[in-house]
Amino acid sequence: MNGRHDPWIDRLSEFLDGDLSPREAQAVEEHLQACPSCRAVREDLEEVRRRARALPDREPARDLWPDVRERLGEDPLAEKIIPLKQGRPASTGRSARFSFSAPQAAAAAMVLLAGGWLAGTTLAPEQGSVTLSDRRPNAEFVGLDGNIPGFPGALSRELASLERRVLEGLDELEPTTRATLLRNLDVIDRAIRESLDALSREPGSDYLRGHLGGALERKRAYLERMSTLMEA
Amino acid sequence: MRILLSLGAAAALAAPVADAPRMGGGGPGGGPVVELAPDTVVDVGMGDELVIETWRGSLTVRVGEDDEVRMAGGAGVETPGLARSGSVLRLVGAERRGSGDLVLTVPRWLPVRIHSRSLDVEVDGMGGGVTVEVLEGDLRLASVTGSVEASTLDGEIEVTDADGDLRLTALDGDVTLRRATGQVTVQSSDGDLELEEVEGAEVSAVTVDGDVVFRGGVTPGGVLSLSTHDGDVSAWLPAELGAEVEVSTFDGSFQSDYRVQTRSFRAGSPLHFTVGDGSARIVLQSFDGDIRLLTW
Repeated sequence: MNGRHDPWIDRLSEFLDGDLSPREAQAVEEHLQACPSCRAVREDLEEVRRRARALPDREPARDLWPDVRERLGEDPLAEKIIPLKQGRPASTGRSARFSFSAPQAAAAAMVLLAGGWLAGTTLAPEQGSVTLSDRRPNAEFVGLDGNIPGFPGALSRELASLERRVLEGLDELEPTTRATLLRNLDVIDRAIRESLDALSREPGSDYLRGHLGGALERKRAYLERMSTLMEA
Repeated sequence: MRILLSLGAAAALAAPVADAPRMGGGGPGGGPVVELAPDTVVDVGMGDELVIETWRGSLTVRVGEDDEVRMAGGAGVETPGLARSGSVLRLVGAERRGSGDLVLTVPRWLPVRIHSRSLDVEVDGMGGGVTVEVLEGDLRLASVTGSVEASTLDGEIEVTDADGDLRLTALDGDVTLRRATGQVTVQSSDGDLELEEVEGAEVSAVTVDGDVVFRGGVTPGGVLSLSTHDGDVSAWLPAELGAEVEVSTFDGSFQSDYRVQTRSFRAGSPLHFTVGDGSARIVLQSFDGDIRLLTW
């Protein structure tokens, strides 16, 4: 069997980097007070960071940017290519590297990353795992009218019905299996929430709409598969 | 002991089989149940199908040379029974729930379906179609051809040397596919997907929380689609690639070993560009993660 995966651990590195919002950081701190295993991971991470800081800086073996520039320059359609803002040398191989982040893309178009990074704006995972008693089908991402914004009401009702059926059958499962199933629902719901949030900020994004549709379809397929397997 | 089970043989099996006492309760579907002591052999013919349900523990299915199903149990195995309903041979445990480490040797051409809540499965050499669905358990398949469907809620999937229509789903676990051709669909909710030396007309790998790594090729006219919500996507492809490439990320970077040229780009839309003759189609997506298109 594969090992368990704690979503809190994913947040610890960001927590130590100071990349979390005050609300997220407070949530992590509260969790750390109650969770010895996460405290142990935090201590390990701090030790790794201490050792990393003690390492001497190393210069790159060679400047890779001339190779990248040469490859870009040999394009016969160079004049028709979207202008790219040149940055510092790329960090790996001969690859050209780009960054495009939808929230900033309207202003920045595409930027040759070359060592930089456009700060993320994604939401943090919801706190901890959801218990059965806490969980209400789709409650976290349906609108006031009970529908998923921008999608047919029938889809929302179908997902709610499927999820209710699966949740009702959870009592028959082993506790570990039940926890795994709920954690996976959390993972999928988080993807849906983040997609909805992104789409609310970029309503014209074809990619985000397709991505959200894919996430909803995955949830439907997941619940259908769970329902089938639980009958085995 | 050899037991011949053929269509129309059910009536003969209604009577107790010598030195093979029948199990109580009857088989699923109402057919007679034949107890399978170790080294029991059951003849099968083309058109038959083997179904294994409600077994818990571990199951190994390997290929033998003869048209027969041979059962061998390891330590702790309960004596299973076998019931035929038409062309379907169904393996069941005592009280219809068996457990233990079970090894079956079957002909390569025999279709096998396995459904269980908790079962580790190893399948080696099957060519007649394999379906494995478990709630909990690791699945390992090797040298399989034809239609192959493997699904586990909580466990890992590892498939090597496969050719055919491959559908692999580990909802809470990693999927590793090595040396495979054909039509490939790999999915996970919370797990990494690794596809090594994979080439097919249609290859799709989708996870929600995990990285996707692909190394292989895409046939002319074929489609390669790699997607994750939260993770990195890395694809290694031949330097002499011909493909229309579509790259999408909400918050991430894109790195390419291939020359990227595009006539237009609109915020919120995928980045499109052509490599070589553009004969294949490659779709790379990560909502929150880096995307790399590299040469090997």
